[in-house]
Amino acid sequence: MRIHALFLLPALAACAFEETLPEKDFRGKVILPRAAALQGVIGPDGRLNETDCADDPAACDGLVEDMRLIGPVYLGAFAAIDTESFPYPHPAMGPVVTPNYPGNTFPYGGTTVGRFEYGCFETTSCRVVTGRFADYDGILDYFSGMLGDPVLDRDGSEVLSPSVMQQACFDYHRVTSDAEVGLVGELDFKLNDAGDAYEAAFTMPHTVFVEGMRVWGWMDAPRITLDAGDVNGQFSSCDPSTGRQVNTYDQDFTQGRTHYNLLNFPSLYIYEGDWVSAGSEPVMGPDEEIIVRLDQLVTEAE
Amino acid sequence: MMPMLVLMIAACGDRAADFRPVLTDVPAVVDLGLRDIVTLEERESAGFDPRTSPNVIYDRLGAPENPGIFGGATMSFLGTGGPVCVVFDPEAVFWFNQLDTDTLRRYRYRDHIEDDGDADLSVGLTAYYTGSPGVAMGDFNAVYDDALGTSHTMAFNECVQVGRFGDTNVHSGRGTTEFCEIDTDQRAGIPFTVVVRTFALPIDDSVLSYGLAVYEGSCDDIEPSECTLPDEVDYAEPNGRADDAPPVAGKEWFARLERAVCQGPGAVNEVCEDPELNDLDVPPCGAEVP
Repeated sequence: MRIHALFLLPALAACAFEETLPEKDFRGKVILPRAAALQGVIGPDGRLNETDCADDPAACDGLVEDMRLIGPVYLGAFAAIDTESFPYPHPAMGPVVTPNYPGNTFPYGGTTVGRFEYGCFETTSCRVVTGRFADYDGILDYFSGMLGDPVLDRDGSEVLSPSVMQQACFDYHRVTSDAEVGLVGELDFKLNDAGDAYEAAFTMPHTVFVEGMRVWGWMDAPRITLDAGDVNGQFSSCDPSTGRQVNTYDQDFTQGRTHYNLLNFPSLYIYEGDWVSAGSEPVMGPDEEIIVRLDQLVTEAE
Repeated sequence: MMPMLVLMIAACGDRAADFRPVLTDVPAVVDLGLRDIVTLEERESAGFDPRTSPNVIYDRLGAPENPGIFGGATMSFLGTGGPVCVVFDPEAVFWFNQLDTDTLRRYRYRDHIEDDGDADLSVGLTAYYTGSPGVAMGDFNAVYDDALGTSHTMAFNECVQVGRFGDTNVHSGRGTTEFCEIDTDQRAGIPFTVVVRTFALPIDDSVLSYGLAVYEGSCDDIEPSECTLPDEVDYAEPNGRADDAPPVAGKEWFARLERAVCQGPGAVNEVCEDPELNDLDVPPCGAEVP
């Protein structure tokens, strides 16, 4: 026993050893105005209410507010915020090297609140975000009742039963629990106490701490449209042509995946309807709680 | 126990020596200067043969005196205002033994890897090149200090090669052609530098022969492969190669093997099963796949 104790002491001391690495885990809160979850959707009648109510709240009556309309939120730590190069606040860029291509923002680190997850049927590719659906029924309803584009199975028949979708996911991912699938469960965003905004906690792991850095981000809103069925409900930050290949029997398609340079060249993926941040207050210490407000609607993108 | 440990360590030391390049009279760092490119007109002419074109380079690279220094070659060309395709073909040829002959799904013989060298291709504006041509190799990286004084490396290499899984910033492995397309739009007459950085010299002779060319036009039209710049071993002789010159000693099989690879697996088998070639110190092919 005494010998064991001798080994235990150095082991415990090692746990407390400060490596003095420049990377830290940052924690904070993302705040989205309720309007970010407000969109014209395609109802069962097949019609889309596209009224822009940003300046006229009365016009919002025809729109639908639903947390499922909150897209993935991308957050990064940057040296500074540039308010001149784009119609919206954007991280400061390094030199522009290639004509008509933005400069690299050189982020110190980043994270997301919600990420793309394959919805187990081809029709869901690039259209499902984690942390937005409490159950499978909510996913099926989102596709049929808000996108006007029901989830179809491999035979082209509408998936009507949540348990069918759950079973398809278990089969596809070869798992036995919803937690392993990752599509449904606890929601990321919750309405705050004042009832005027949605809030979500975030952790930005292993980010290089530079005193004075600012955390900036944007929410990629789903594109809901009747004009182009293949992009209806998709997100500009997801690339449907890459990712895991599915070649099983009569299935032949690509799952899609997030573009890999979202934080380095965010302006390539930000479009009208997305919500951006003006940047957090300068971060002066690794233990500060960081507040990021995505309160600026993008009405013009380059 | 201790004597066994000493013997084991000694055994490891002996093996490493086999892979260490030996110094030869072939230079480690070479500058090929400003060169003309292969124009569309030349490439489409009836008698075009890369081996005899003055605008296609065949040369060799050797080991540096300091084993900690990377060697390589540089050349420059002027932008045309349109796309150009840069092609680099290192000695020798490479194939997967998983790939046959009868079924065309699997080679019967393994590639003999000791003749394969590897070098990595990059291309950028000459103004961004940090090396000293002919003296020391460099790259196209620069340092940028952001608003908070943090330094970041900026890569000005424009030679983007796409990997098997769609990822970029990749290079081919040993004995395999590298190529990339450079868009010189708005940059006609501006000098670009091609950098070939030696990654590994062939184990058999520590000399890496290669072919290098810049073609006017898109790589989609060139479709670069092992067969685009043929016979890089024989034609990499210093001062060019005479028509009646014999093949490089010890590698008499190279041109025949390369042609066979370009023809397909069946032809490769003929070379690999030639008893005359297999009696050489360095046979063209490895062991037969069981």
